[in-house]
Amino acid sequence: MSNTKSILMALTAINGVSTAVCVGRDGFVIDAAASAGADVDAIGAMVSTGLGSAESVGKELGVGNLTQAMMEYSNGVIVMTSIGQDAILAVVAEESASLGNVRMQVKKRKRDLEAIL
Amino acid sequence: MSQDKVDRLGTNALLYAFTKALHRAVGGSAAAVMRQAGPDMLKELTALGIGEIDSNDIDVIQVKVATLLKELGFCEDISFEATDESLDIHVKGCSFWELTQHLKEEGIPPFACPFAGIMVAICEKNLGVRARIKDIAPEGDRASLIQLQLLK
Repeated sequence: MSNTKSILMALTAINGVSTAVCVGRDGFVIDAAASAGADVDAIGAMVSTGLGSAESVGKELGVGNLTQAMMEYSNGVIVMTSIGQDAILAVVAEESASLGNVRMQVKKRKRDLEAIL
Repeated sequence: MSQDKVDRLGTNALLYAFTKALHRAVGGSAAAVMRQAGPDMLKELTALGIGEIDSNDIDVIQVKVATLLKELGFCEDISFEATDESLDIHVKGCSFWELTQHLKEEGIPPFACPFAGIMVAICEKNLGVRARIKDIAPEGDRASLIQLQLLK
């Protein structure tokens, strides 16, 4: 049976994915699979406010609910999605990772997490 | 006006405006900002020489927190009921009551509650447990029950 940790570890097993974090809306880190040295508490807070901000933009512009957000940086990407009303899944990937696959896996694992959280 | 005197209702108005703007910007995720603010509130109180909570004994923490928050005029009294898995905080004579009520009327949860923010930070720093706000509910006039979930 899957638990949160095993779902996150399945995501970090994808080539190029270094970190997968599941956080509450309050920034509380529910679980994480991350490379050593990553400050998951800080990541949790930033992920929550980042997604919250993207949702507010959508609400303000009347484009509906956010389904997935992706932010591209010079050295990688972050893919985020909400898990029900109270949690968020965020995945950090290198720029060399297959973004199509990462996004598809995030969508798939979102359903798995929604089933157990 | 004395630099040492800040009007309570003025403070409520100020916090109301900040809280509402923050909620508009990031929605329910505003609670994550407050979670980050808690440890800094503690650090700043220490840096300003107002008070330092350095014990890991919940009874000692209760006495120190109550003394500090009453001196600051944040509330008239505060008491704890602790178990291994939870901490119930009873706040009486809350100075931020108007702020909380007005936000509530507008559908904004009391995520900026300073008592909850400070206590989450103290639990994590002093007791070595992970803490999360479970609920904040009125408990009579100007009184609230803040429930924290504690995870080892």
